[in-house]
Amino acid sequence: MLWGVRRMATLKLEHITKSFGGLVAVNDLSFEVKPREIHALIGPNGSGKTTTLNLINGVFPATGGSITFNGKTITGMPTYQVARQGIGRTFQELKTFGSLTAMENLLVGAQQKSKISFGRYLYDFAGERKEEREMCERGTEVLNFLGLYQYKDTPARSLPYGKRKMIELGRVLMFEPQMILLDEPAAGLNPTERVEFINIVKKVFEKGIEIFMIEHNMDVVMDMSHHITVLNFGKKIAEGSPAEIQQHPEVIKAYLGDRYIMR
Amino acid sequence: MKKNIPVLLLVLCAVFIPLGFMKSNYFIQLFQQVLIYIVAIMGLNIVMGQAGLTNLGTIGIIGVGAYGAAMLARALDSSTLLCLLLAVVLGLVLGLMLGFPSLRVKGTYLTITTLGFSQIVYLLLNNWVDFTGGPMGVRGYPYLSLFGFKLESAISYYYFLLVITILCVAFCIRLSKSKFGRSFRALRDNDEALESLGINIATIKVLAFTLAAIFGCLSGALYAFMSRYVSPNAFAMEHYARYTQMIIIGGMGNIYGSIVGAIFVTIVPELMRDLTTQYQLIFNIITFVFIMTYPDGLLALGKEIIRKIAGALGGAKNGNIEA
Repeated sequence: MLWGVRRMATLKLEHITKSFGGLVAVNDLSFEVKPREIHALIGPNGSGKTTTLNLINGVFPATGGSITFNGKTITGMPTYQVARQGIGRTFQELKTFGSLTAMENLLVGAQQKSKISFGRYLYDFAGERKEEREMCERGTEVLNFLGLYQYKDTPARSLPYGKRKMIELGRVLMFEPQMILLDEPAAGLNPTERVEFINIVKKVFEKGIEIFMIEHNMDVVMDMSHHITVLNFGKKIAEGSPAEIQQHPEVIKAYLGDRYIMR
Repeated sequence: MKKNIPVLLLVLCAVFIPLGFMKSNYFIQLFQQVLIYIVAIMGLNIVMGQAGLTNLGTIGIIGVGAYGAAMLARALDSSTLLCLLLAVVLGLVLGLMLGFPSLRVKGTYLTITTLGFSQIVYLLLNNWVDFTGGPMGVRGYPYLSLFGFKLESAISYYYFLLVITILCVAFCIRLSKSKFGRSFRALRDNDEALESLGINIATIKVLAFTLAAIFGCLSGALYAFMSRYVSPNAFAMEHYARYTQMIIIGGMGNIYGSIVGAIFVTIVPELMRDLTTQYQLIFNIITFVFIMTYPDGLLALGKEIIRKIAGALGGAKNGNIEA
């Protein structure tokens, strides 16, 4: 039971605004991540992509607007509550638990599903062992899926960057999320690792988990996504399919400058 | 099974070595002190070693535990397990109290907050003469009795301590292997990632502080029944250095390391008593140099030595075969 029941999930942002003091990082942004569509958010450096992701994830509250997940408002929820709605995320700069082994990293991911409270832990030895065993079984499945089983007992900090990135993804898969937010999945990977990682993400998507990502690498975006939203200076400047976005004058202007627009 | 041999050896030593020193109350009390330190250090190992939260409040917590048990024993004119239970309850309350600031402040600020707690306890113990007895401390409370059996002799109290210590250590080992232990270490490594996985880090932090406080208070209460006299000076901030030394010398975040550290820091200075006034100075210089050269601690050093010896033996064997 690695993948659970296939569900449809939608994420909707309506008029989201975020300002840090005088700086407006995200300005009146609205878009919808529809079910069964890999949605990518792109834009030049400093255009507010990661801020948007952090807003969805509840790292900080939005100044205005609302975010709904499957019809439920998640604006203002603390990060751990957002995660419990079924939204997982990875980070641009890796945040694996360095001193924990690959397996332990994954087990931490499964923990929000745990039913053993501290009080019960004190006396229910058998129940705790059983739950631990179930979590380990799931961990083994995920490690096999990612091709990381051989690194099971290796501390995350001594694994190469690409493997650690996989562990971050695996950690999220452990709690059967409905949607995964990927913050620059291709960043820092060499071409081989990149292909490997993209294939894994595609497989995850095929299993019924929705994907929303921020990405810089245009090859990856054009290859993977079905729908693209483009941000510049915190404002949405375009939205559409990869083919449409490639032709869009505003996008070309934002990335390359006026002179590159074909007339 | 092979992994358990050192543990078994340690327990056997703890059981039989004191029998050889039956006649000397000084040595038995030294061993008692080691066990009491181990109980406190188990808590500190959770909050500092595993969860990575600086907690300078420990010394104040131990003080509250000791005074709480001593004063209750004096008031009831009998010392039963109830006094130890009170210590656990006190620990629970203090841990929750100290845990909440940790949700708001981090790093250096948390260090200062917990330091403040220890100072407050010290000042209260010293200056609230009507309640705590001030600098004179609390004395004249009965021995600890267990189901009507008084633990008057040093050796009987030692074995009682040993049982409690083994229970505490076993609890900590089980805890560190469980999901709670994992989340403590995950919290130390990266709290943002832990939260993004749907875990309320506030709960984890408060849990770490509370467990540390319970162990601290228990250790304080056990100390009160060992020394049969508690005074504020035993809980002055300067004693904190000892606890930190124990954790670091043994190996940060490792339970066995902490035990080795507690034994080392208690026994070695006593062996150097002949140096009279300079023994503290020399001991601290030794630990300073040791920490600089072996930051991973005694346990890691021991493992390295064993590996080298094994390697040398293996090498010699191979050499023989070739010859």
